[in-house]
Amino acid sequence: MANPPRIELLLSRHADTAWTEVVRPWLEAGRGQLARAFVVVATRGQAHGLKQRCLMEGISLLGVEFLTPGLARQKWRALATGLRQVLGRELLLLGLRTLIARRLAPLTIMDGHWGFWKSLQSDPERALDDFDTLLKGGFRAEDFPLEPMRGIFTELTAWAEAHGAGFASIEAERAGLTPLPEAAKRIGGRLLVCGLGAEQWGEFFNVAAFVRRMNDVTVILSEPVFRGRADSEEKWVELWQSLLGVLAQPIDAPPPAETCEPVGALWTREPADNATAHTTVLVGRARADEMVLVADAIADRLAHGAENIGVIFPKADAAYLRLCTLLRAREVPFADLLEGAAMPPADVQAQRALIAFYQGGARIDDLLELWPLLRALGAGNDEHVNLTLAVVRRACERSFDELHTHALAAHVEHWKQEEPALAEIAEKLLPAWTNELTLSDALARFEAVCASLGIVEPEGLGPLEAFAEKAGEEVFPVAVVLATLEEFLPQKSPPADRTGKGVFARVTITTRRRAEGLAWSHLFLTEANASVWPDRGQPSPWLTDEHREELNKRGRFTLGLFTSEHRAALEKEGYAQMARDTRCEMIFSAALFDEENPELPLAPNSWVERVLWASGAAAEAGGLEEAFARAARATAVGSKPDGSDLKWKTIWDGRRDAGRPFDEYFFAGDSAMITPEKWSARRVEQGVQDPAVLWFESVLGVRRVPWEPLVRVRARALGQLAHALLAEALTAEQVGAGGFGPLPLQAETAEHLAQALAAKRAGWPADRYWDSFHAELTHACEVLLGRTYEIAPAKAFIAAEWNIPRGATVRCGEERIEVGGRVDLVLSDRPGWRGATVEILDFKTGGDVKLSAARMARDGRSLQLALYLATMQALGAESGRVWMVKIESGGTMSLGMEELDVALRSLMRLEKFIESGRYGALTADRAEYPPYGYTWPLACVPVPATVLEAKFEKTFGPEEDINV
Amino acid sequence: MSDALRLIDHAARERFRNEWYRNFAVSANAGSGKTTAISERLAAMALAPDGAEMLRKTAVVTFTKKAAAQIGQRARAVLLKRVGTAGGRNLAPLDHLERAFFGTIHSFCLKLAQTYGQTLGINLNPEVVSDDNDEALWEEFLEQDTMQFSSLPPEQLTAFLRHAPLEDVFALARQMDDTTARRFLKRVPGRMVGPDAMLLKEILAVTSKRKDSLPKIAANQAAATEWLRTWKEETRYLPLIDPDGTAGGMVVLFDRFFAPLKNWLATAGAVLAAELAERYRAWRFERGVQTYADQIDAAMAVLRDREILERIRAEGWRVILDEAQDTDPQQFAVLVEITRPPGAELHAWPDTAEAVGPRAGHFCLAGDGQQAIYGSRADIRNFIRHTQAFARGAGGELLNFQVTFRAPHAVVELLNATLPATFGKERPYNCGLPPSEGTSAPMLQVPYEPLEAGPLNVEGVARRLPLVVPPTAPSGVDAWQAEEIRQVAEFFKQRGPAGVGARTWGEVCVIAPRNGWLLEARKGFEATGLKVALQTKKNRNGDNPAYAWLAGLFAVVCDPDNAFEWVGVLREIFGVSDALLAIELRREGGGKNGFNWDDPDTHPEALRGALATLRPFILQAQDEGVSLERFCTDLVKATRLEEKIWLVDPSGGVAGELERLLAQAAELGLEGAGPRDWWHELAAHLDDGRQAGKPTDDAINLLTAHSAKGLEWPVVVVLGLWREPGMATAHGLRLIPDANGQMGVFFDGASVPADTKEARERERLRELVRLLYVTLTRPRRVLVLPWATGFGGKAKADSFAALWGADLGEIAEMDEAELAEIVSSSTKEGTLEFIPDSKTKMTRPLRHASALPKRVLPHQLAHKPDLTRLAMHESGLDAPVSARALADDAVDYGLWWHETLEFMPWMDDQEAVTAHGAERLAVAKAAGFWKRAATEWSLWLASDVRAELCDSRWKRQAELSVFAPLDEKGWMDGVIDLVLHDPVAAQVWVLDWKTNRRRTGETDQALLRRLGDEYAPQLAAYGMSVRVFFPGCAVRLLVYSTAVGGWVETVGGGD
Ligand code: SF4
Repeated sequence: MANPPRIELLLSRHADTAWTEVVRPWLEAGRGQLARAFVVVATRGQAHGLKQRCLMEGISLLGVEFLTPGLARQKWRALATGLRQVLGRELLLLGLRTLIARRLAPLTIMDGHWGFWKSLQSDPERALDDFDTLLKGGFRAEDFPLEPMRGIFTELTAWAEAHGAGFASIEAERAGLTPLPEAAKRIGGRLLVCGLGAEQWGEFFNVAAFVRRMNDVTVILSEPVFRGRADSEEKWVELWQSLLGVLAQPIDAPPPAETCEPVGALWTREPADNATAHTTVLVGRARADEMVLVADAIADRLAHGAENIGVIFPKADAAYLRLCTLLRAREVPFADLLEGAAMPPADVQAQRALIAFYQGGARIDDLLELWPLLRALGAGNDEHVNLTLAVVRRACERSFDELHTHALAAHVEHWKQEEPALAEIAEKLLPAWTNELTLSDALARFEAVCASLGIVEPEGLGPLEAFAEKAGEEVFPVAVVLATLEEFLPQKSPPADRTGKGVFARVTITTRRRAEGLAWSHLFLTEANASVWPDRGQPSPWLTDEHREELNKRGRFTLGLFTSEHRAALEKEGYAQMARDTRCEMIFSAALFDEENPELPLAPNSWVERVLWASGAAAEAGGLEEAFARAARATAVGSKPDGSDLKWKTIWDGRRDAGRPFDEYFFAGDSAMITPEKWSARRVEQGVQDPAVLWFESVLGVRRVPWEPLVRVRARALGQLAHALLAEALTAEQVGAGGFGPLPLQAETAEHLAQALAAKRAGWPADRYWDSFHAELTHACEVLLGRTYEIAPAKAFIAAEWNIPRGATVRCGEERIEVGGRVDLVLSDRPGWRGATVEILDFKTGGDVKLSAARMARDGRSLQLALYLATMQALGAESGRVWMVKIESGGTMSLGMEELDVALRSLMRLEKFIESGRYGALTADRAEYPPYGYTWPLACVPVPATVLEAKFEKTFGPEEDINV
Repeated sequence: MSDALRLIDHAARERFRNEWYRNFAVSANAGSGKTTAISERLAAMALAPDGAEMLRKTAVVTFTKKAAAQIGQRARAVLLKRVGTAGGRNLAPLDHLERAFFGTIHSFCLKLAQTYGQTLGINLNPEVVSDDNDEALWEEFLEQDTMQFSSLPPEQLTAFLRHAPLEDVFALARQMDDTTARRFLKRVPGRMVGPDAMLLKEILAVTSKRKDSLPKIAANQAAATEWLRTWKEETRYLPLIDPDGTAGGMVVLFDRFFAPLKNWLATAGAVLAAELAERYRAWRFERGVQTYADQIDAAMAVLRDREILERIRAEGWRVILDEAQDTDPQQFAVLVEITRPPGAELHAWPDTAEAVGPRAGHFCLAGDGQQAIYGSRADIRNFIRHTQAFARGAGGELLNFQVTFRAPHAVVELLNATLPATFGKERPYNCGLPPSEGTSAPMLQVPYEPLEAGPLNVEGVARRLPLVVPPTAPSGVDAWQAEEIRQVAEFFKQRGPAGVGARTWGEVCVIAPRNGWLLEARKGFEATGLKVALQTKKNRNGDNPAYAWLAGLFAVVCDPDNAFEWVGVLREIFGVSDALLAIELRREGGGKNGFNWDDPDTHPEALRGALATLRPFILQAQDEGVSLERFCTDLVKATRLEEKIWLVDPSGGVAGELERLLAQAAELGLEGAGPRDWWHELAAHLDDGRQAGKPTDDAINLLTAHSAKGLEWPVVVVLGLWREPGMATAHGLRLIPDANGQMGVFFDGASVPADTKEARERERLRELVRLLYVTLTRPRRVLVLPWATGFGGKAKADSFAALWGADLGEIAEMDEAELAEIVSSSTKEGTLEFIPDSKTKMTRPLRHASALPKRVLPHQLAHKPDLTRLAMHESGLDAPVSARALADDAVDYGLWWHETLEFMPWMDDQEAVTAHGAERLAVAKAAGFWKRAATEWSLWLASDVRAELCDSRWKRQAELSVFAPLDEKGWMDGVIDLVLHDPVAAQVWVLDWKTNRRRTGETDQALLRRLGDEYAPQLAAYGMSVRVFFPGCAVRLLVYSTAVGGWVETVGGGD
């Protein structure tokens, strides 16, 4: 080689020494030259930290580029020759999932292997990670200890090759191990590698490949702490020695004057005297308190001149977001190296919902999920935009009750009449995707459905499209394709708020890995007891610790595969190293309680435990738990914001004041303006029991939109169908339901009923569930029909599903109110009601209800039946009865017109409501088990039933007992 | 410990602690410090020479994760203390302890399966669904199931469906475990059996002397006749019938009439249910979910595979099992079997005399049979079997911890005097049914272990709170309950906490066996003005104001058409009057149209303000970049929710709930979730229960006996001693274990054989006795028993009082003076102390340490961010760009271009350039943009720009990073695509590649002009920083457009 590369391998014990003795001189050495130089660091955290230090010390840089291993890979790959393309993770998963699906296809749960493949199918991500780990550790697919894993990953390797692709780790290993031929293209220039520890072993060959393409290389590693046995860090140094072909030289410099080293040693080795001299433990009562303590402490340390504070979070979480808010409020500038997240664009949300829809096999519940997004995007068609979620939900409920299936396809026919716009959208979404399809087909379908719904076409599918082209006619299982598509669509976007992003500041919010190898003045380890330290994790079943240990015995590389034990040791060592690199103070923060579980105190983690112990706090408090609890502080979070100006409180209290009548703030208003013109008989029945129903449904005219999953309620479905079929059979000869026609002969009706039942049966799936349902329905219809003819007078006229005509009024106190509703069946002795004798029939297919005038008067139950009869009377019927017809034996009860006076006494309540405009409520307290009583809107915090009762009495006076 | 203070069970405790090389079963009385004992044993293990190796294969398993973690933590505390007292420095034993497994038995079984059992055919990555949470899952299964059955011959299936809807087997199938299902599938019934036709004669023979009964009797006779006729002659659906009324013993006759048919139906139903259960199990596997029962099945699979079991055994696992009395027998077996020596015959121990038990030092269990109250999942007989084996010396030894460090002397005396009988043979229910006539009934209750008070336990008292039987008896048990609660509350109110022997209400716990009673108690106490902390999970989320309000707000934000929810939000959160809402809704044309939130001005003031507050939130509810955390906090602020919450609950409990919810939302938002996702989350958990408030000093604690287990209070009040803790009645086909624990299916209550019923009932009572024991052993100072003979009406056979059998009337009444004395002599309880407010002062930063200069990232300076550059820069990792923006700008392509030019062979010959181009185009092809790449590459080759750049006067550097001061306040941190320096002419050119696409109809000139404008600030920053390094050089700033193949000089580029 013309210019033999200059190579140096240095070891330093402290980040600060490394900086002053090596990094800084190296950076300054290149000043003023138009040449490139690279610094490779472990994570972007180190890059940020080093740049910030340059800035603080006024070192400007030209041509020095900071690279993480990932960015370094891009550089050398651009120059390397003979490299194969590598597939992205999404595409490798596509391959793996497909192969798993193929293995599973011929198996059933009875086969021994089924469980294995099913398990793998639910966890391909970790399996792929394991494969990657294996490759990075110098092993290959055939080294997998489990035979099926060997098989499938060998196949995956072949699959990738068939698509012209290789694996990044293998390529990196080759590039890292092979010396460059003389003529090979080089990047050239100077390279500094710093802050890479054994935890970065997986990136070693990648960085090595980069190193080989440079001609002036300086590597600084941290000096392993001697522990009497060759541990990972020592092996790591040896590895670099053999790559670079030089011996590592410790930097000869005095240790820094200040360091928190002893507190680190307390965790990893043994306690020194004064181990906790520079250590503080902050304990909040809850996480939120903890963050206030941390924010205050940061502000405090800054006020006292802290130069460079690191704040380490285990991950981006609620506490992290909270600290950001608190720091903003305190006007403390900070650099934020954690990833926040926000919603992806609305179109992407809709695309993801679409995928979920197809993943579920095109179900109506997923349509309900998709609907609001389509509406918000103004997508779909014009009429559809006007269909509210409530309308769609109701349409779904109606058809679901009859069909008992979530499959969208079955519902479309039902909607065509009632909600054509909905049907139209549904048809655009259908059909559900076929079991297997090519990628191009899938992409085309997806784009087509987006286009037809007016969702912006999905972006960023480039690599998938390119791959689809290569894959050509290869078919993939639909679940796999959809999972892949989903992976290509972003789940989140960066938040619009960019505080702390891309800035330098004296406070840096970061993670352990990003904080390592930098010199801090103060270091906060927050949420110290939110998880277990060190994290041993649970290895996947595909490559267990036991497997790893076995493999390591015969591996090519000394570091091989890390077990959880290794990782835990490295993590601990990492923390200890950070303590060593921290000058003034280590601050642990923890919480005594977890918000989700406020009843059980949390324990300190094992490091904090040792701190409490070594500091003497435990001895003083009489135990570790006690010391920890004693340290806990509730903070100013608990201070109350001032709401004294809120008039709202008076209203709130008034509503809950048992001594106050119902007023305009509690279901009351000007009766002249709010009284409905017409009352539904059913609502009136419910309303005399609980006027809240009347208030919402009749006065306001609003109805709850359920969101609960659609669940089959067979009894309800049976009831609805029985009603409909009976009406159909009894009026088959007439021009439609509603008007009066002659009651057909029983035999004829039975014949019609049988036909209708048969038609229903034909529309349902041929399985035992529907056989059974149909048998029961048939039974119900036949019994009810029989009972109808028992009641029917000779030569009767009949109207089924008869809507009470406008103008039918019922006396309610001094006034008459108009009542509406639909009656199951009216039998009359003439074709009409004037002067007639009528029998009103109400079919009951379930439930144990009794019918009596006295009971009705007392609590209003079944009142609607009396109201039907009363409207008949008002319309001119001479006499008659209302019948409750049940399936059970002895199940027919009736009430005569002469009993109406008694039966309708409970209308007294309604009279008072109408007259005063006050309704109020008598909603029962929610019991432990259903039925729950009337459900109010979500935002309404329940008012105790006792209060409601008192208010009711206050409003309307005591009610005389209705004893009949 | 001095001899005087030496506990009577000292030796046992010492042995358990130190002899970790032996196996023990510890039978530990309530409050005997079992957790501590286990911790100490672990500490001893950690200190042993081979502690590291041993603990690596040690599992400490118990009921909850928390409890297990607590043992680990206590063990570490013990160790630290020991190291400290010994003046030692070696903390290595602590590290060893960290390696042991602490967790639930489920997670341990899963760990075993994942470590050793990949080939067992079980689910290794289950998502666990709780039993009460699988409603939707079940529903989905039903829908997808074929609903065809092959386990019964078709004619039998038809026969079954003739009398019962298929749905009747659903509930059964849903709860049936694998083992039971497999057993039933083998028991296909024979041909259908009809009703007992002979009995019709008996039915028809019934007459009555009471005239008024005759019509009903006749009707029933007719119905039975008709039923039998139909059954024989027709084939249509025919449900079984009940007689109308009871006259003439019709109920019994009908039962006997239908009995054979019912039995047949039950057997057939069981088979159908089993078939469905098996399909459900497979389907769950397919879906990747596991129920509680599946988890047990999975654990059993480990045992079924001999080879794997032997491998595990060979590894020498050690198990310490806590709360052994509540452990499922099958899981228990797993723990035992893995600790037995290799080769040991499965399931032989402890029942076979010569079978070897667990290896010495490998298996320990601790528990208390007297506290076994989870009969539904555990089987006390299993626990007894094992402790008895240890007592015989088989497999280990039995140790007894009699000393309780909790119960006061007075309570110990009372219990020791009365409970032996309660647990004794004299009570019939403590024994099983005699196996056959003439044999003696086996004792099935655990024996009572007398309690021994610890040296520091207080004297304490057990006293009767005298209830008064009201002159007019309340009607019904609920009214009685209300009356008791009223009296107790009144008593509390009058005497205050001291009156029951407590310093504060927080020291008092009211315990009842059933949740419902506590809910009543809460109402009653609160009505009296007492504050309570109902510590059951029965506080409905949706009833908490913080939860309710947020749920309501998100409901309207996510679905602004929802007039119903709007009404709730407006009246409740904004205090709008109902009168106004009614008028406005009417004006808008009724509830269907809702409020006009998009144009609030159409509404009067009170409403307008509220709608205007929420409008912006509705509009941005699905916007990109909105973080859920911000959205929620802003919404809370805008609606002044926090203020309102404090007004409603000054104790801060509700504010805590708000805090919790906001944290939850923030967490969710970090996954990319938006308002709608959170609304789903809120809605899904509306009905879930949550612990109400934290225990506080001024609130009386209310707990069920089940949840009180393991806890203690200074004062315990037992509610409803007179009342029967009833049980839910079942409907339809039911799965019931017989006296031997074998599951059977019965058609209805009437078909269950009498001895099975009796066995079940006795078992229930035995468990109630143990529940009573748990209840009575909770107090540390005072046990309060509200009681009056005759209270509650007729004595109830299975009330706590009746089961206990003590003469409660004899117990002395509460004495104010005595209790006051007890309170004053008691030392302050070690409740957690909190300093109410932060002692850390809020210090405004003095800014001793100067603020750092601003970091200027040039790629973000441009009017449009330079996304390609962003993706290539280290800082770019900070700002993941939205996929849409990336796609718009085709970042992949940009990267390709930059890379291509980065390694451009500027000075080489044409051949080298062509080779480079070919190589790069191959890459472009793989990435799917070959066409564009080829076009723009040839444009580049042909361009004048290239010619000029190749001039030999230049020193060139591509991808040049610059990190340098820009001005006083900022430092630039960026990478320049290409810098050219001509030292001779003192010229520096700065050039940036732009791969932006041409807009429709855009000319070359227009495109160049646009790029020049858009990126001018970025280039200007480059220029400024470059000058620092090349003093005295003239700087030109250029933008090259790949689409045009030409460049433009940006404005402000000159000197
Ligand atoms: S219940 Fe708790 S305190 Fe009582 S013995 Fe069990 S573990 Fe110990």
